[in-house]
Amino acid sequence: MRRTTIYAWLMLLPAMVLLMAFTHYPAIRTIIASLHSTARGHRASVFVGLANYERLLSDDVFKQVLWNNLIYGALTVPVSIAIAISMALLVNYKLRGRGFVRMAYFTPTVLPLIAVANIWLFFYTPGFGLIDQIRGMFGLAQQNWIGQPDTVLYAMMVVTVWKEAGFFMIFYLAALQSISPSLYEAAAIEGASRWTVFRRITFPLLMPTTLFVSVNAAINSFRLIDHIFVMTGGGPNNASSLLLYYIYQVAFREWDTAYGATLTVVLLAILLLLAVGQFFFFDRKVHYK
Amino acid sequence: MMDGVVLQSTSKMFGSTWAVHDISLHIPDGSLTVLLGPSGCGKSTLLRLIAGLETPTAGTISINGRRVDQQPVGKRDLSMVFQSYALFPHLSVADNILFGLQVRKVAKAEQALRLSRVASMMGLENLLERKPSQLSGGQQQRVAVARAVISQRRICLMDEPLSNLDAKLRAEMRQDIRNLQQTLGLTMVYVTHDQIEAVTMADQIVLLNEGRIDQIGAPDAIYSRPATIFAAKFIGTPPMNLVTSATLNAHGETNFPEGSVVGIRPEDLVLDADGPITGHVVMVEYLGADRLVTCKIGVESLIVRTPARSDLPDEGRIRLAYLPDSVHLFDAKSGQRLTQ
Repeated sequence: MRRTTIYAWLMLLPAMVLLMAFTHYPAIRTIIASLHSTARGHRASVFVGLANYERLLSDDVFKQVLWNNLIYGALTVPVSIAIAISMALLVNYKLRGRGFVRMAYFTPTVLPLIAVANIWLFFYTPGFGLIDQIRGMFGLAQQNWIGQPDTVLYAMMVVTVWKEAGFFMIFYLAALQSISPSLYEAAAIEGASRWTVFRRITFPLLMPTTLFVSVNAAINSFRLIDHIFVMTGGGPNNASSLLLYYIYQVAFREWDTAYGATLTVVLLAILLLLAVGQFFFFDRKVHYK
Repeated sequence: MMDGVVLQSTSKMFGSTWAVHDISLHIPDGSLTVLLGPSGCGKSTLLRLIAGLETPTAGTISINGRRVDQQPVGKRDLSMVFQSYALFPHLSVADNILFGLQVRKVAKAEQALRLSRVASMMGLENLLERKPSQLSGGQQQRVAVARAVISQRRICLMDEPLSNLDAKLRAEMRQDIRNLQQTLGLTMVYVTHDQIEAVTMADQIVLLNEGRIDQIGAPDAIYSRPATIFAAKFIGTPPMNLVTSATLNAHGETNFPEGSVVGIRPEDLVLDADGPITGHVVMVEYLGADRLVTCKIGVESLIVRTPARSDLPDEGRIRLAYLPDSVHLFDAKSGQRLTQ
């Protein structure tokens, strides 16, 4: 009995060491750091209680990036899911060149976002960028998509959706292929239309995948900021800044590590909330087997 | 115009092989027709052609005098029970049964009425709120049948509906389905590879072999007059004894035509000290009421069904007699029936 216990702990040890060293310990350190001031020059870091969190409440930039991030998540998650499902349904049919189309849809996933951001930078370039050239053909005026505050965030969302939809499509494709064809045949015998079949059978049976994908997409909306770096630097006037980008700016540009830690705690709390939400709310509604 | 389902020269090709070849068939209104055959004989494909889940490569299909082979599957006004049951895993039993009525926008009150009637008929009243995964195999099967019955469509197709059940349940469901078909006057097309199912349930058996019809007839007609060696082998447990005329003539005082295969059912053979065929016992299988005695006749063997209470001769050597008019003669090359 004792021996097996020791054996079990030994087996768990490598994963535990890694998790603790690189996940749990930093998280706890972050929380501690958020309760202290940033050490500057001769002034050592001191315990300040919730002072950093008070600063948070009066920080307009924080409010803006949080709001940006919420819009960003609220739009990119459902849009990339809808596109992923549509693409998966399409390439699940027996159409000619199906393999090629599948590959094409998956390509954005394979390409590094940094490289892709440069291509999109060209697409968005005012005047001679791809989008403006096409607009020019229809006599539409030039637009500086990523240079003006009211379009920049949406321009970033387009890149995100483009990047993610193909990846999510793979999960939907796998899920579609695991649905027994006889279910569709049974529905066809009853005379169900395509839309009815999708609404009453396909979509509900894809729910576990949708849950998985939406949680991932939501997490990514807080995590994936490579294109912000390359394309806008959060600008203009923080219009395209997201929470994680703001953390980077505060912690590693302004070296205000204590406030950076405070912002990180907020990010952690949001991600935790998403995970808990998935666990307690969705899980029951989605899994019927 | 002919009522029921009529197939004329219906064929279906997959790739370069004929799954179903030149089938002409009348399934009478209100009857239970069993499509019977070994796996790969095309029986399921034939059913799917009738359902509209496959389109025929050639030939026509009509239902009650109306051509349907080019019609989409939902327009054929028939119901189907699948081998896998095809229950929607995310819907409750009630919603599974009501799915078709909901799709066709039948009034809610009518739906409720029909559901309660069908649920009590199938003994599902207490299971309506469950999900399919919470049901036993037999219960799932009844839900699948209920879904077909509630549609009130006259034609019901069944694709090996009992193959996933255990033997006892299968025997019960066999009767239940047959009763249901007769009570409701359904035209039922029933696919199975189990000849016992076919013989016990069918008004008409369509025996298929390699995509073609081997024989069509009532169960007793096929049993008593199999048209081919294949039919003779397929129907009956244990199957009909089939031995070459050469062997029998060499080991008995018989004179069967050369180049033929002689078929005698085990129950038509008797152990008889004065019988014309000689052999010796190699195996005895006790079945309770009966005993199956395997006798070696030269290099071939014959199975004899004898009452279990009758005595077996002490020594291995025996003589066999066969009942008059019980001999089936087949051509050894073509497999076709020769006599009578």
